[in-house]
Order: sequence, then structure tokens, then C-alpha cells
Amino acid sequence: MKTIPGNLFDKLLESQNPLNHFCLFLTDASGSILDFTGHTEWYTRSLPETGTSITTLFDFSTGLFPFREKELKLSNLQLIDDRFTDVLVLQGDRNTLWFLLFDVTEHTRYVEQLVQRLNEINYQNETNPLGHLELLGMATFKRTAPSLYELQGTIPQWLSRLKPGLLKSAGKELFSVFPYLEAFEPEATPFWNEKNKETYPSGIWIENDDTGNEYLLKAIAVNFSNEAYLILRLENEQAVGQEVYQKARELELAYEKLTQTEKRLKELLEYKEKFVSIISHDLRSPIASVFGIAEMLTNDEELKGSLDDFYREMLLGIKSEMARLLDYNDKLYHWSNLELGNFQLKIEEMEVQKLADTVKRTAQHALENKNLKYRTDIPEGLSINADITLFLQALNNLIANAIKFTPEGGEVGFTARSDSKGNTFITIYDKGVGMPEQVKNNLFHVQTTSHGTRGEKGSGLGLGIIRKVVETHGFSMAVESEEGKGSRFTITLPANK
Amino acid sequence: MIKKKISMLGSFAVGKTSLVQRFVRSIFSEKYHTTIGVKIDQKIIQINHEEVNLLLWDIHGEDEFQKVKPAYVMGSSGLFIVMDGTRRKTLDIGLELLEMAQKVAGDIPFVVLMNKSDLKESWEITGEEIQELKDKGMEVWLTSAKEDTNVEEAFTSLAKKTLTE
Repeated sequence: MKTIPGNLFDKLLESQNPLNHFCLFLTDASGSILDFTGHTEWYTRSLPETGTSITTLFDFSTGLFPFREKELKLSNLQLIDDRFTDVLVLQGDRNTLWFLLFDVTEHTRYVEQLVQRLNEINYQNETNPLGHLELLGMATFKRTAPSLYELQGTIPQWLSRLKPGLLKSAGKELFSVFPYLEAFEPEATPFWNEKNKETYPSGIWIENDDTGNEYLLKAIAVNFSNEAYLILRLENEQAVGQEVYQKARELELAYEKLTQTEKRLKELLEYKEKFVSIISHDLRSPIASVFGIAEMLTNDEELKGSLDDFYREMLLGIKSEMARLLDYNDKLYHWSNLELGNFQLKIEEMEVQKLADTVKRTAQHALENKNLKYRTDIPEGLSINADITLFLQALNNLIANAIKFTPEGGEVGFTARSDSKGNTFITIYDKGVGMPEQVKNNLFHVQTTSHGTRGEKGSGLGLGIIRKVVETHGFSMAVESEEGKGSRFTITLPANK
Repeated sequence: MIKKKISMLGSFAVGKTSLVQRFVRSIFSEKYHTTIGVKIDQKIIQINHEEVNLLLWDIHGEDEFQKVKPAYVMGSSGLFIVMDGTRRKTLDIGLELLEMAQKVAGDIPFVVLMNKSDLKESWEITGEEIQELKDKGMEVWLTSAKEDTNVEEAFTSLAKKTLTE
């Protein structure tokens, strides 16, 4: 493998630049591998074997055979694992071909190493001091003065396709051919002047040829032997860089869309809650009036006496349903206002025993209706700080639920305790039907509602109100429940609240 | 022939590349393809019987990953500040880029393109905000690269400005 054509390739092979994983294949004119060397494992997972066809290793080589004489092919190919490879196919003699493979994914580092290597070996080339870079897909220009550049050696094939005929004479017209370089020059000038580094890369720019093919380009400023050079080459990092930016921006766009959607949803929710609040507020008066009339009629002994059983039952039904409607409407009103944040907490201190007594008084009728025991266990003198009106709403809802799900003659209760850290725990419990796990897990969704032990209907808003009151105070709540044994709702009031 | 460098500036994904592609090649792609670096195109147009070669610098979108290099704007004869009507923050970014560009290139003509007018029902940028820009003396075009709305008109308008101002 010592007959590689050209001085530069000898030097490259000697240097065995690990970054570029340089490797060689020697084949006959039909593509059968005669020999190979270098980092072949970098380009193919199959182990090369002499005597087999190179087309079994590389798809790109399939169209090359039969190979025409004196033909030189250059290409940039993505072979494996997102690595970009320059492939040079050269004719050795009448019956042999050379395949030279370079990984150019990190070409900037490659150029840096190349220049360093050329400096070390004091490389001389008559047409281009940096060597036959055109064979590696690069065009070299020497900077003779600000904005004046002269082409060194010959231009690579891609440049002939992109700018046919424009660079044949000299590099003076470089800015009119590549306007991007006009912007790059001021950036690179300090680097050229300081001469303390060997390469300085530009950003990427994109141009189209006459047929619309896109070329991603990069310029590299180079200091070599006290002269300033500019290298142009096709950028092969696009798949890596492009993919990263593309993903990042797609994610950013998706995030922006989500944020927009969230904002719109919040606006819609607020609109809905305002609507509910206004409607429930306006409905309260007529509902309360009808309820009051029904109550008045059912309490009128003379009227009751004039009605037969059927109409009396109907009247009681109207009163009962109106009471339920009024309660439902009130809850709706409270819930929508809580969601809207239409309130200010008025924190007061109150003894827990007094709270428990108030809760009992509110629930008295329901307790008697089902003949339930109401037990309390509260340390003497224990008090809490809360917005009492709001907090009582939560406790009343909890005890109403406890009553609802406890069979006749059963037991509900209100207990409280505090720990050594000053946290207070208030528990409303029942020894009723309890809840299955699935119900417990979805408990605080507004739409959750179940019939009670007597078929009592719920609004589905009670637990939503409780949750909101607890959250607004900065308290927390835990639920324990076992089917057939009952449920315990414990509100924790932290010491600092 | 007169040659004019026109820089396209704006946040990412506002449609700069799509506007240039629509203007230069009369094509549009729904697929978002982010621009890396700078994409340079050109188109020769006739202004008052005179041929003008517009050299269009489609500069990558500004975001936290990529900041626009001031050097890209140097030598520009005109600027397009592109905003996406559906994204409020592209207005702020556009105005910041305008400020940066004017520091670098001086008081050169510019036109604001409020793009994606085909999605007007989803616009976050309001008519009042657009009017505010106009009240400050800015020329604003509501464009759609997708539906080819006002694209040719906006480019011609800026080209004329570069010749007269």
C-alpha cells in the first residue's frame, strides 16, 4: 500500500490522522477488493475481505463499475452513524482502483490538524501552499490585501457546479461571488493579524445553484507560513447541527403553543366561572321566593286541611326539591366565586369546640332524620386561625357527606388534636359505607357524585368547595376510607398558618 | 445593474425563508425547516424601468440558541423586520433586531412584515399594536407566504425605498 498517488496522500497516510479515520481500499476494475488498510471499521460494520466486491460494503460504489479510464470521482456521503465521509476514487493503473475515505464530520479540526501537519513537515506545493485541498472538496484563497484574495491551485467540483465560470480568473471578485465573505472578513481580520492561532471558522451560509440545489458553505481563515488564507468548503455538519436546532426550535414552538393554549383555556374558564357566578346569583332570589311560598303553604294548617293526601305530598315534594335547588345554587355560587378568587380571607381565631358545635347545629336536622350519633373528641381550649365563614363551609360540606353515606342509627364524628410542633389536625369521620379505591382517587373532581344511603342526591360541588377552601388557607387534607367501614377526612393546619 | 443587499431579520419560525422562497421561486412549503446561518438568494426586479438585483440575506432566526451577528447586517441597503402575527413575542424580538440593525447599518429603509395573515383568527398581535407601529412611521405589510398575500408588493416597496431614500 505504498503506491498512493501524490505527495500529499503519502504524507496523510504517514500521519494516520486519527480524527479523520483515513482508510484505503484497493480493488480491481470489477470492484473486487485486492487490499485494504486504515480505519476500515469506522465505515463499515462488515469485516472487509480480499476477493469480495467492494459493493457489498458500500452502497455508493455500486454505480461505479465498470470504471471508465482516467475518471476521478469525488463525493460527500453519509455512510454510517451520521458520520460524513469524503470518498475519493482514483485509478491506480489500468486494472486497479483506489478508494480513499476520510471522515470530515469535524472538518474544522481536520483543517487545523492538516495545517499543523503541513507546518511540521514544511510542505511545499507550487500551486497551493496548503496542498491539493481541492481533492478534499476545499477551495483555497490567499489574502493579499483587505478584500483582495487570489485563488490557489484549482477549485473543487462542487464550486464549479455552484458558481460555474466565476472563479476561473482570480479571487479578487470573491465578495461579489460570495457576499457572505464581506461580512466574515471583518470578523476574521483580527485573527489573521494576530497570527496566534491556525484556523478560525465562519458561520454557515447557504446558497443555491442555478438548478435550485442547496449548498451549505463554511469559510475557514487560516494562518500558514506567515500568510493569510481563506478556505471554502461544503459544510458537512448540517445533519448534526441542523437536527439539534430543528429539534430545539420545534420544542420551543410547541411550548409556545401550549402556553398560548393554556392562556386561552384559563380565559375560557374564568369566563365560564363568571357566567356561573352571575347566573347562580341572579337565580337565588326567584328560587328562594318559590321555596318560601312552598314553606309557607306547607306550614298553613288551614290550607293543609283542605288538601287531600295526594296534593299535600305534591306540595311537600315542591318544598323539598326547591330546598335542594336552593342548596345546589348556593354551592354553585360559592364554588364559582372560590374559583374566581372573588374573596379575601378574613383570618380569625376560634376554638375548635365552638366550630364543632356550629357544625352540629347546622347538621342537626339531617342527623335526627337518620338517627345518627354525632361524637366529638377535641382537647379543651384548642383553637385555630382561619376564615371562619369559609372554613365552616368546608366542614359543613364534610359533615353533610358523612351523614349522606352513613346508614340510619350509625355514627359520624368531629375530632381534633395537635402535635408537639404546633400542627393541628381536624377530622370528620363516619362509620358508613366507605369508598372503593377508584372513587377515593377521583374524589375531588367536581363531577364526582354518588347517591347516599337513602338515595340522597348531591350537587358534585361539595368536595370541590372543600378542596378550594383548604388550598386557599394553605392547609392540606388527607382521606382514608375502607369499604363497609367508613371514611375519615383529616385537614392539617400547619403551625405557621 | 444596481445591486441592493436586503436583510431579513426576525425571531425564528416567523416565515423569513418562506417569504424569500415565495418571492424568488414562487414556492411554499408547510414544513418548518430552521435556517442555520445565512441563506443568500437573489432576484432581479424592474423598478421604474431599471433593473435592480436584490441580494436577499435570509438570516437565521434569533433565539437563545443563536444570536444574529451584527456583521451579517453590515452593508445592507434595506431591512425586512419579520414578525409572526400568531406569536406576540416576535413583535418584541423584531423591534430589538431593528434597533441592533440600525446601530450597525445606520438609518436605512425598512419594512415590517406581519406574516401569517392566513392564520388571522389565531393572531396574538392586535390591530392596535400594528397601528402603534404605523403611528411611529413604520411601513407595515400584512403578508402570507402561504397564500402569496402582499409578498411581491412588500419586496417591491422596500426595493423602491432603497432607491429613493
